[in-house]
Amino acid sequence: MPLIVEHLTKIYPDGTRALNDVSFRVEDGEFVAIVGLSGAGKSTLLRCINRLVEPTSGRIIWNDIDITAASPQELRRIRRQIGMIFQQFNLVKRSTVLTNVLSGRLGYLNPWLTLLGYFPPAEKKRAMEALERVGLADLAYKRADELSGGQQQRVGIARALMQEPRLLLADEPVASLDPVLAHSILRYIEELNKEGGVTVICSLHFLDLVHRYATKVIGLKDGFKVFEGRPEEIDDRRFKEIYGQEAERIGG
Amino acid sequence: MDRKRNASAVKALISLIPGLAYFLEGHQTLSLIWFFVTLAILGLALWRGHTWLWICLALWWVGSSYDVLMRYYRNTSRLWPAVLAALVAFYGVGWEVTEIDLLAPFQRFDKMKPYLVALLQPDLILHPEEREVFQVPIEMPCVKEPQPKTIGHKETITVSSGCAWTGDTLKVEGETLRPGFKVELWWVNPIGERQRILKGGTPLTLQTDEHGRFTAEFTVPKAIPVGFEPKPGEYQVHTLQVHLVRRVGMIRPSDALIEVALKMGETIAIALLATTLAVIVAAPLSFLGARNIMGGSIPTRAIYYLMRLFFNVVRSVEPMIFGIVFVVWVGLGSFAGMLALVAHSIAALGKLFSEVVEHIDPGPVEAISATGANRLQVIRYAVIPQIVPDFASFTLYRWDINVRMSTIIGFVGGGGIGFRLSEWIRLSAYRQVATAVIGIALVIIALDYLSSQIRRRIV
Ligand SMILES: Nc1ncnc2c1ncn2[C@@H]1O[C@H](COP(=O)(O)OP(=O)(O)OP(=O)(O)O)[C@@H](O)[C@H]1O
Ligand SMILES: [Mg+2]
Repeated sequence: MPLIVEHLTKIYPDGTRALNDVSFRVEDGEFVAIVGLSGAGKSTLLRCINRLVEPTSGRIIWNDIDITAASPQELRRIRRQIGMIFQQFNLVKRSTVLTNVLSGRLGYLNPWLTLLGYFPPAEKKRAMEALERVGLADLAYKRADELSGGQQQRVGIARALMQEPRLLLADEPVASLDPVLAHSILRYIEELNKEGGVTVICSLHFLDLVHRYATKVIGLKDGFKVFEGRPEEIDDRRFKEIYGQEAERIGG
Repeated sequence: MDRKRNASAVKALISLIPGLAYFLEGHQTLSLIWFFVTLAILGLALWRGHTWLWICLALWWVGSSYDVLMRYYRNTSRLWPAVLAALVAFYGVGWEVTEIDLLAPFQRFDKMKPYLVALLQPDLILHPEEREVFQVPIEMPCVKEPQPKTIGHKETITVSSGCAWTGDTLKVEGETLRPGFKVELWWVNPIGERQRILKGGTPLTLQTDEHGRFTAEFTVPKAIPVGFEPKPGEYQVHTLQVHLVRRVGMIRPSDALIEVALKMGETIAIALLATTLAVIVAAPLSFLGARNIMGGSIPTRAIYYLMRLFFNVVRSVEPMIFGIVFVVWVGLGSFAGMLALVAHSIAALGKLFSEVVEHIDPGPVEAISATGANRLQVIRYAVIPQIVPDFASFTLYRWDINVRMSTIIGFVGGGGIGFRLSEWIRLSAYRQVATAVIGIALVIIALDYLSSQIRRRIV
């Protein structure tokens, strides 16, 4: 059940053309890296997929369902199967780690009970398991803002795990972390991808990370897709196409 | 040459019409200001009719022209002469209509003095006492030869003269009274005005000895009622009261203190209830008045603008005005006062709350939305945790404000301490006023401290 993006265009209300006629196809189980300069449209592309950003035109089809045409109710059913993690982690800082993780499950639970703050014991158990998987079980009752950056991102992953996602969107998940932590976070994502069979679409800044983790790369420049292929296909010429003529290659 | 002269003439003409130069230069706002200031000074001059206002108008005119000419020929602006003329006109009229009387606070200090004195001796405690009163009639003035006067059989009071006039010295003696009692002397005039007899500025107080005797000399006070002066050859009867006083039993809080405590409690309760009701209404409304929540579509944005308008309009109405409205509407009493506070607090809190909601971090909202949560769940799990501390802190602060407001609204009939205080002021019950004022101050200081402490904890 592939993800098919067709002629996706996004024009922001202020006239910025963030995406121009972008089309590609992602097969199940792939680890796709989205690369491009700052402002190239990476975040916009990822956000269009779960419609945090409303596309201006084009279609996104997943599991034979047109996400772009989904009603609000259908959209929630789709979203709950798509995990998302963010550069700034986007945890609810004043809530506990456990609550943050549990909130990943909201789309599956009785809304009225959750409004009262009730989560079934089975869900709490699931949340503790998710925290164990990212190695944070003993921090479950700490406030989220008491954790370090790397720990917060692992909470973000645990929150996504609660959704039992079939697709994981990651918007520069390691850009705020040091290189050692970056690898540890990406390994969790890789594990999900390899062992859980979760399709991953992840925007990344560093090419060495792309080479290490991705099975496929999509390059964006000024909202246009300028590259689609395997990581090892990115040679100097392609690199300059994506990052501009003046760019120097570092690492990778 | 000729054209040059024409240009100068045009410039001179332009400078004669205040604001025209600015208009021609494209400074619309400035030229409007000039136009209205000219009208305003003219209006003031016509209304008050003072010569000095006409002079100000003339100076304003000359000043404006001078400014314009400076702009044309020196390329600088010289605003101060015109501005000075306008300020003199406005402040002068302001001073005049306010009828500022710098001497009044000093000349009429005696009106204020009783309150200041009372602040030092508020009506706080009551010492129950036993009081026996002997009354000796005194004729004023003396129309016959003065004769000593004695009343009573076994217990007697003797005054050196049964008639006197203001300033005379009288001697008063008591015999075989009850021993060990405090003695106070009071003077009562024919219309019932009572005053304590003083000696050297302080109340004269004596003590009966073991035989029940006392002796005192005093000066007859000024007591002839204004407008009731006795005609020549006639006299009026005043009364010298001799009080034998003994304290009995325990001291207890005065009635005024009990009243102040109860009413203060009532005030705090009114404020608490009003704040709570206001929060219950304002918290949901604040979401409707938050741009980030309502920005999505055109109908929701319309609601957002309506909400903002509502908050701003209602907030700008003084709680006192609401107080008057609700006293008329639901009648005198605490209920009216509470409704007034609720009305004002809904708008004030609604506005503050919606600003809190607008300033939340959008990241968690996105993240929770992305999990497939519905709108209410997003509010419950991403918005509310972020706003609770600020909401709580603003609510406490509002409660604090409402306690103060509630005392004021009491003055227009809204119940609580304010209502009683306004009565006491009307009755010139100075010491009770002092008790109330001190009570209010203490409670407000305590609340202020308490709420700031709690707020520091939660933020
Ligand atoms: N809400 C918005 N309104 C208007 N313009 C936007 C908005 N969000 C993004 N843009 C613009 O769209 C373009 C693409 O932005 P986007 O955030 O997708 O880039 P990005 O590749 O994620 O960049 P970065 O690496 O800096 O995160 C940029 O020019 C940006 O200024
Ligand atoms: Mg981005």
